[in-house]
Amino acid sequence: MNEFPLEDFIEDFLQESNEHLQSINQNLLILEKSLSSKDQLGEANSSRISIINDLFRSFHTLKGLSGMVGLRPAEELSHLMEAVLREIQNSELEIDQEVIDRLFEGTKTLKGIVSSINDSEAQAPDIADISKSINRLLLKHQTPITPTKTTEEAGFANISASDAKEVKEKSEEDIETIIRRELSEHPDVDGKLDKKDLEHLKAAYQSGNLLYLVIFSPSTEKADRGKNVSQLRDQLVADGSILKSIPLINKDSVQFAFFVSRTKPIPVEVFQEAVVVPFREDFGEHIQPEKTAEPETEIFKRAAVYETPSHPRTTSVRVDLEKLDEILRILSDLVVTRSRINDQVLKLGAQLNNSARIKPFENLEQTLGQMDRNLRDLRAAVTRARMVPLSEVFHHMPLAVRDMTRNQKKEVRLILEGEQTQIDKVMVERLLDPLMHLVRNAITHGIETPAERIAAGKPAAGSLVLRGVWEGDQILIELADDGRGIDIKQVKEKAVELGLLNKDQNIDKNNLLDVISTHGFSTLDKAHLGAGRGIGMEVVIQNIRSIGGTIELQSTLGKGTIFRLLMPLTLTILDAIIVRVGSERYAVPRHSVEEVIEIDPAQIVKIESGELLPFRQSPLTLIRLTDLFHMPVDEKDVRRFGIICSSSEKLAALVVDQLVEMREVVVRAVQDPLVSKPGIFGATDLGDGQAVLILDVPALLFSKSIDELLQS
Amino acid sequence: MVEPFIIFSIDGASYAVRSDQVQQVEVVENVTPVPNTPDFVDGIVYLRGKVVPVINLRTRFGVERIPYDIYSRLVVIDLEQRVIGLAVDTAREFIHLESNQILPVPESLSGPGVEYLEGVHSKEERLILVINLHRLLAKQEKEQLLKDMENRDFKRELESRSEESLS
Repeated sequence: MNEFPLEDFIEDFLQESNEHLQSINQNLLILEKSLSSKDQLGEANSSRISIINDLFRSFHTLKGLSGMVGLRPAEELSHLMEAVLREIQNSELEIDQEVIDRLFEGTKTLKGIVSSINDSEAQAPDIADISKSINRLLLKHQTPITPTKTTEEAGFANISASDAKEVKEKSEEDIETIIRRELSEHPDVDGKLDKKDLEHLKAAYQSGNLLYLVIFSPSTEKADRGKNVSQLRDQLVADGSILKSIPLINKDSVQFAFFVSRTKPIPVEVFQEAVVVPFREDFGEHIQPEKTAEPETEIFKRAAVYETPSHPRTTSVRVDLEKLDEILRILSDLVVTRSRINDQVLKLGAQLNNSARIKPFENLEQTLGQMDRNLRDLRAAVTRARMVPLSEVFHHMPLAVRDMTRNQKKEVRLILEGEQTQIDKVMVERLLDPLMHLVRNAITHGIETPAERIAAGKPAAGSLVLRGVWEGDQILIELADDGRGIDIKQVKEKAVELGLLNKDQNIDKNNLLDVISTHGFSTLDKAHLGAGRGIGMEVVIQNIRSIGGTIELQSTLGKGTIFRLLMPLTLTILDAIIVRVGSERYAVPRHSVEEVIEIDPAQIVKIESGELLPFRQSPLTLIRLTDLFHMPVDEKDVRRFGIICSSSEKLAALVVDQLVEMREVVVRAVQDPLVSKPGIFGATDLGDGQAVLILDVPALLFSKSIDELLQS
Repeated sequence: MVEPFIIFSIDGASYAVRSDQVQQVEVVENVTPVPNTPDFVDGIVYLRGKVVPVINLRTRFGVERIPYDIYSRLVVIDLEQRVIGLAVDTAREFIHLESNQILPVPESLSGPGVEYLEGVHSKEERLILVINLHRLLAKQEKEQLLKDMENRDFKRELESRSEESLS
């Protein structure tokens, strides 16, 4: 392991602290000057706010820095000063000469404490007096601050009182066992934890937060990459707070242990730089997605919070997915019917406009609104019925990892998180293969043998994190290993050798995934793939895309690889006919198609209002997409195809140039008002990254707005 | 206060948008045209599994449309719960501007996009036009609303006429 001398660390601490102290003094001087100038309006006022913010940040950073080197008095004093600044920010405390004086005094004391760390002769100044006078200042404004208040309150609005109680009761017995069990592997940390700390950990756990122990060993190599304790600290407090930091100082090296309480899981990158021990793995039950997009997602969220089955499958009924799909189809018909009623009601309203509004009409309008909400709820409920926890995929992993590590003589610590996150059943089934492949890749090609790892200064056991978490109305699945990472130079050599890349083309994080997933690409030892499972990255990416997902790759040589899959929570899959008109492809949902015919141009009869084609009993109206969409038309007389649709016993055919294929497509909503147009059902990706429009053919052929389309 | 901005150019002029309103900057490719949309809408693209409309800012600003080239970029903004791509001539810079040095738009200033500006900033003798994206979106909304209303009236008229002829 790379040793990191304590002196170097202290020196860094001193340097950074002095920088902050210096900027504090400068800012205080400016603030004092602004007091005397009496100009509190306009520009001066806004610059004062930014100075106060700067001061707040400086004290906050000093507090963190002092905590890390175990400089308790400096930590406490910075905390007090930070409190004063917060009161000023919140306009609870007005700045006057007294406030400025106290802040100057406090800063002076802080400087004394900080300098004393490197000077064994000097006596660190006492903070009792200054603490007292600052507290008096705060008390005068009735906001006493206790120096130990460091934990921030966790937002946890979504769990009702009874649920919270349940969590609490369940956790009382569990968390201590979990902590003890996990800490048994880190006795040096355990020894430094007192009863009060344990209470803090418990409290954070009970408030529904995620608890982690993070152990960081600074090294010059990490420092060169900008990875140091301050940077880590910032990452940890971005969505949480540090409950306790413990410097582990040995004879000539130093490590830092942090107990962290977080509202969101720790970024997977941290696993590659530090040892991370999660104290609870089922965060999926409690974590809240950041964005609340639409009512449906709200319901998904609640579904996962409340309905995680504690006794799985005892009260459940197996339902064929097709039956649920059928219900959804009926439901969408119902939505159409409702909108027809709505149209009629609008018309009625227009006629009633001049006369007085009558009560029954208003009732009708209200009832319609109610029906709208009922339909939305119903849709969400059906969708929810299709949701299962991610554990259905994740639970396959431990066994696979165990087998692979035994065969390959490796040590791997598999960390699963967010298994309770709910996802559509169809997604789960289609996720298994690609995820399994990525996990196998990570162990075979990512994580090194214990000997190699120790030589590289890493723990013998590699870490493999598999995590699912909501991100808005999507689900993010992250797979991170702390193995050897991808050697971009090697990949490039191979790619050039295979003719996939020119010599002067570069590989960066944007096209790395494209290159390694190109058909036939493999820099890897063929023997590894001999296991017969080498379906290849190409297939993984196709699988992910076919369920509407995207995949990103981030790899650092020597540090590991992270895959990020962003998937829709649920998906609608349609059988579709892909057609071509001009240079564009379109998807036509199969269920709306009666029949597909070939059109002989010689048989077309032109009439005033359009074109007709003799067809069995009655003539068929032909509608050209090129007309509807105002597209350029060429060679009018070639053979084309007609997609026949019916509505209320009327028949019409949409004329297309070419039938490309029949396939399943994933429907993505086209929602933005700029592009959401009648006749467009959604969009899909056929696997090449190009969006293809899915047509709502009945709407195109039979809707009255067709006249508008033709005339606009 | 110093704020980070992303600079892009349209027809030789430099425009700035607040970088916290920008989700990402992409190469413009695979734009699928969507029929019957306003002329300044180039179509849609797929980004991270989502359908994102593409606005051609040249057209929106009333500048002649040119084909995309290797410098063209898609500045993807995330604002008012909408994600929209702005196709621009190029976008390469990331700079910090002092917000109190962003000056009101001089009344004499005219030119493409001037109606969407919130201010101007001259940095090292270079004029940077700061765009107010809310204004850009609001304009679209208003136009859309007007158009929808026209369509609805038109549709009503059609419907009432066809009903009259039936009776």
